[in-house]
Amino acid sequence: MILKSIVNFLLVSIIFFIDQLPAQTVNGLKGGSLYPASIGGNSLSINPANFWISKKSSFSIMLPLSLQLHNNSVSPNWLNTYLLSGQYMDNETVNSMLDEIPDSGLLLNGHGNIMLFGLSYKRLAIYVGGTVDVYGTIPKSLFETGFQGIEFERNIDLNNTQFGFQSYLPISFILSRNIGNNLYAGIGIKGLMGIGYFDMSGRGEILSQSDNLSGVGTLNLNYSLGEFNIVRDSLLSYSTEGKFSPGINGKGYAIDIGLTKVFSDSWTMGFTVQNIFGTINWNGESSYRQVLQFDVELFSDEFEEIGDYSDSQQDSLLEAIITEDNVYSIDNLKTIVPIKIELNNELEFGPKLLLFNSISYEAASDIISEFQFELSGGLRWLHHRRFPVTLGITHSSLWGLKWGGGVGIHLSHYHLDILFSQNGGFSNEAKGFSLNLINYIYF
Amino acid sequence: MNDRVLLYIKYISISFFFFLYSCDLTVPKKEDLASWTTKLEVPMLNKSITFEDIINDSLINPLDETTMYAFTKEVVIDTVKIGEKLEIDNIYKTFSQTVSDVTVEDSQIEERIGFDVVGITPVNEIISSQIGIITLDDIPEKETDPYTFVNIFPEINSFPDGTNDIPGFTLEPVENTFSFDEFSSAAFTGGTLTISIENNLVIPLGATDIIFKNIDGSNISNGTVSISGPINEGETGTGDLDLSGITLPGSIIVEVTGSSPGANSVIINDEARNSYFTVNISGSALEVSSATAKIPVQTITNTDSIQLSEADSNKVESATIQYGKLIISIDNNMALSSTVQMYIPTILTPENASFQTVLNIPANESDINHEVILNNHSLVMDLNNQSVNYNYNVITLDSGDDLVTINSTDDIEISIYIEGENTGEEVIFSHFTGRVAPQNLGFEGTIDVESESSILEATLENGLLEISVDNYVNITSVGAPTAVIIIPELKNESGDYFNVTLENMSGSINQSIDLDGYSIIMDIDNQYLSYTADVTTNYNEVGSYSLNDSIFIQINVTGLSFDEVRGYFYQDAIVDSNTIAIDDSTKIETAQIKSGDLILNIENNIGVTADINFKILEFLLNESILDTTISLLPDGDIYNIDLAGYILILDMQEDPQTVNYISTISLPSDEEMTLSLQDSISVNVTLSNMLFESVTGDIKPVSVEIDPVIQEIDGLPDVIEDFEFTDVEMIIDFSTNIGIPVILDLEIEASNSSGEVETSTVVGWDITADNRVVIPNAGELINLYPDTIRATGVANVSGNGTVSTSQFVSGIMTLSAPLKFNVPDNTEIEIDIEETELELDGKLLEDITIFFEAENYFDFGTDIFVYAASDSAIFETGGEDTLFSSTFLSNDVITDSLHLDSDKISLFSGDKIYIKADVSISGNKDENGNPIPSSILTTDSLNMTIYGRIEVLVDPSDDN
Repeated sequence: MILKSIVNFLLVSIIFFIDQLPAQTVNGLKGGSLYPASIGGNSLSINPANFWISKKSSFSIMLPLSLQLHNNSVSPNWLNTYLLSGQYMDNETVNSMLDEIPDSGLLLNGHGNIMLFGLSYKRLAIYVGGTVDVYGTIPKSLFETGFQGIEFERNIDLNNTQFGFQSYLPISFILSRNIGNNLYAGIGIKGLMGIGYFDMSGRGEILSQSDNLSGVGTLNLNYSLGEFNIVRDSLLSYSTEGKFSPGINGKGYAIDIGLTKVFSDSWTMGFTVQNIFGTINWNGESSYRQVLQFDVELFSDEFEEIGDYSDSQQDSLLEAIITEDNVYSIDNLKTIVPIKIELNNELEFGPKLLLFNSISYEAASDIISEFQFELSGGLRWLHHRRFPVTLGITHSSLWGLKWGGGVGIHLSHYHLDILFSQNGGFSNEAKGFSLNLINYIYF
Repeated sequence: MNDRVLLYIKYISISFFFFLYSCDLTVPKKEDLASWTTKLEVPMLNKSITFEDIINDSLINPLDETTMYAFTKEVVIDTVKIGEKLEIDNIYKTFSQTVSDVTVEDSQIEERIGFDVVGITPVNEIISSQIGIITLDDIPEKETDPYTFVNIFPEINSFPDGTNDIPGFTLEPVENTFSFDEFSSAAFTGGTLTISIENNLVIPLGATDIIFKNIDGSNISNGTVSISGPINEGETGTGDLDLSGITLPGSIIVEVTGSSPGANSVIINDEARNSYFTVNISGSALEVSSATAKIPVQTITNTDSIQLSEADSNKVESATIQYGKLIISIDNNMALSSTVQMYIPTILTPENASFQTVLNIPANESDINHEVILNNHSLVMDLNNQSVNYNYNVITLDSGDDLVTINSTDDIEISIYIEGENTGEEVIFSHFTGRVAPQNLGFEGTIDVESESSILEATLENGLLEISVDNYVNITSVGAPTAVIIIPELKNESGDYFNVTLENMSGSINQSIDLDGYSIIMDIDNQYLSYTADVTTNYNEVGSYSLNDSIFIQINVTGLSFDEVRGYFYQDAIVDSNTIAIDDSTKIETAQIKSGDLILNIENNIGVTADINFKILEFLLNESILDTTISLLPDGDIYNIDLAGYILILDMQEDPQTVNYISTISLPSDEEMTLSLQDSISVNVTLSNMLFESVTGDIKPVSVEIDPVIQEIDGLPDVIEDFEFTDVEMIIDFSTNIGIPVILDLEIEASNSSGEVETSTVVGWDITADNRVVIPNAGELINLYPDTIRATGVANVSGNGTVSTSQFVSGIMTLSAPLKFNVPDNTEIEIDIEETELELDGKLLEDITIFFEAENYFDFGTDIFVYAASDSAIFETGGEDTLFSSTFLSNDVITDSLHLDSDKISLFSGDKIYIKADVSISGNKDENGNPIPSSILTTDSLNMTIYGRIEVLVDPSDDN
């Protein structure tokens, strides 16, 4: 009965936590850690050198998953306090609500990793994964316009408007070995199979005044989504062709290198540089760019006249306002898979306690235009050798504080770890979460 | 509960703990959605009223560069052009040009001569030296075995012991062998053997003979020595044997014969019977012709000389050998090792010591060669005795205890060779004092005559032929060579070719020959001077020669110039240049020539047929300078060059300005001609009829009359006729493209129908410095309210700049009178009814606030009334609602607002709202209430803005 409960619990956990924390053990506290033992890294981090360290068997299969959703303002508490309060929000309340959104706008980020299949045998390993990155910024002025209305002389700032999405499958071939003196090295050559890419950036502003309305702006779109593309029928008139087909729409490569030093049975340190030269060249036949620019200044008396415009006059006015409206097919869409550098450290205190920490840097990319610097630390406790409990805390330069923990079960030939973390606050103050799951079978 | 179950419970509890800390996001219901009020600001009226809205008159406009309104009037002054007034006087210039000298580059050659090899024929001599009579060391005294009493007198045995008288008796011959240690055989040619008998007998000996016998018992010839007696007992008798002619073997028998006188009372006993005597032999002054003996040191000495070859012409007094060697070859035919000490005083070492060498010669050794390199050694000998003196000593080594067989005819053969570097070659000298065999050191060559022409014959006007000799071979003039140098292409006035003799050239010699009067005669294909030098040495003089040095002879031909040259001339074109001064008050920087002539009158005084290229750098046509070529006739001619269209560019810094020409005479290279280089070509240059299209520079004054301009004045508004203009401005904006100062003298005359006339003048106004001419007293001219204004004048153009015939002066006269005037009270300003898109729905809108903002920047007060109605027709009925009413003072700002709640909003329910504003203005008054003029500025305006702020409730929970 108890066993059944555990199984049920695990199944529920798998359903809920459909992703993986990049940390695992084979035996005891850390034996054979494949990933740096940090919690809540914003991207999957694999140290190639650890394939050799983790080689407690001659054959293993890995199936890790991770999913993260973040923003920089909206938390359950924010929603419950304001938008879902069921109350009338006076001006003061509205101002208080908007104050929690930084001037740079509302940042949204989603990140998912999945290792579709991982296999290691002696010095060689291969894994096939999947990665999705989503990042966007909604200008604060749009919230202000929605909740505070349109006032003269108040600028509707459209700068910092952006949205990006990139998905690819890394196929990595890894060679790792002990190069002596308990120093392990690994190198991985990754083929990056691009699934889809989309980025949108907007700049501009709209200003309403007592006698006129003026505005200038630019919207740029780049995307490679298989057969999906936008067709411009006429001015500001578009239709779509095809559907987003998640095939191989781009190709690239990257190199991972890693070093792990086992100083003693209780101290291990790892260093890894991932995604060296990481770029994806998207297929020319599926890559497009769309540019929309407008420049308008209408006076109040013109507004009155516009109401009486004929269709042709309105078209002429629109042509005067829209300075560029084009969709191009491009054959040189090339995006960055950002390089990531990580240094991690694991200290074992007796048979039941493992402390770990890491420091990592991830460069800016076409999707996330800011670099990320993270400090992470935590502990793993094994009251029983089969059931590790993990707690950790991370601080990201972009997403702030993240904390979390999880449990696992380590059987003879099967490991399962499930971890959950929040960022930007605790409980209802959190502005995001991550779920991690790892399956690991070895023989 | 066992531990395993407890563990699972713990595990589940920890997992649950995590769930507790997950997000608590309420699943929203409709009633959970918040509501808020948002705002929308909508413009309703925006109006700006300026002066144009009050008075609209085409002659009243904003005054340029001010904020004033003014009455303005423009009068056009017709364009006046400069015309054809740009010219300069004719210019004359004469110059002459000579054909450039035929020049010849200075030439220099240097000959280096040296003596042939000076040396002597190799010589050698073979000397054989016999050892001759050999001297042996003295033979020390040596005794034979004893000759006993009983042997020489056997009868003694018969005598009883005791005292006996011994009678005299003849000695029985007794013999003993004797060996010489010093030789085994020796044929003596001299020497003495001293033989003595030491008598130890008990009786005396009488005369005895000592006979040397060969071992075989035969007597040795002449080997007997007699010793006279008596030789008493205990005494020694001696005799000498002359060894001359005696040959002794190494071992001999010494036989003693003779007698004894006997003795009395001789104690006879055995001791007496065995008493004895011995023969002692020694030798001295031993000389042998041959021997096998111990040979002491023998010395062979020889002094002689080697005669140099009589055939050698070089006679040495002293000479340093550059390449030579001495070979001493020895065959030792003696069984003795020897030392040869060779002295050759004729040969001096580099240290100036006589040459000597010591050679060790093994016994019976042949072909012993000793070679001495004589480089840097010297030979010193008498000029009349060309021989190499030498002497040597052969010193044999002492054979010691060895017996050496030697014969006086044994010899040592010494060969002396003096030869060159290699066998059979001459001994070569580097320095030589003596008589050198006559040598011809002559040389020949050519001195190029480098010119741009082929000279067949030329008479020299100037020229110098310098010969300098640096003789590093001969230190002194004695024995120095003599040179005779001949140059056949150089001939003097008598037709003799050039020759010069340099006697006894030594040290440095410089000799210069003035070539004035000489002629050069050359072949067209051989443009050079050939020289031949015969250089001979003097054998009769004893000279000193540094044979490795050289004699340098330089021949320099410099400064050749000619009076007349016949030949072919390839020289570069003969270029001459000169300047022509332009003496004109206008200083030209650039000038476009409209018409003009360049006349060249050329006199050909040298009779040459040639092309003359004529360039003037300052005249350009299509960016190319004036460049024309004239075929010069033998008698000259007059040539005319049309300068129309050329541009003249001169240096402004020059005074007077000049044009610079370059005249180039090109001689035909394929014709033989004779040039007299003293004559010239005369060229007369004339620049005439120079008329310019335009001139840039410092222009002399040009006067341009401005045609009189008469302008009718009308159109002054009636409303201002009572005004007196106070700030009237009358200006003429001149326009000119003349690039230099234009000084204007102008007279403006205003007159009206009443016959009144006012005049204003402008004198000396540079319109290029300031093209806006301000007419003085303009107020008096305008307040006359003239009917016509007449303008006349003259413009003087001068100065530094550009003037062209097409340049002009034109102008626009502008009359400007700023306005100030009275504004009537309650002047109504008509403003259109404004229609807004604002739709007021009292059910939807919570409330509306209508804002009114007005700014009055006029110099007078204003009353404003703002009305609103839901239909424009209502304004006709007076049923409109008053939104705002305000009274403004000058430069006043008023804001007001009107709040409409939902009830009041419903009053305006309809599709649209119409707004109407009534504005009335009133002029300023003095303290007595009298109107005073108001100033109107272009910046003055009355601005009104009306907008509404609508607040809308956003309530997602409200389905309506």
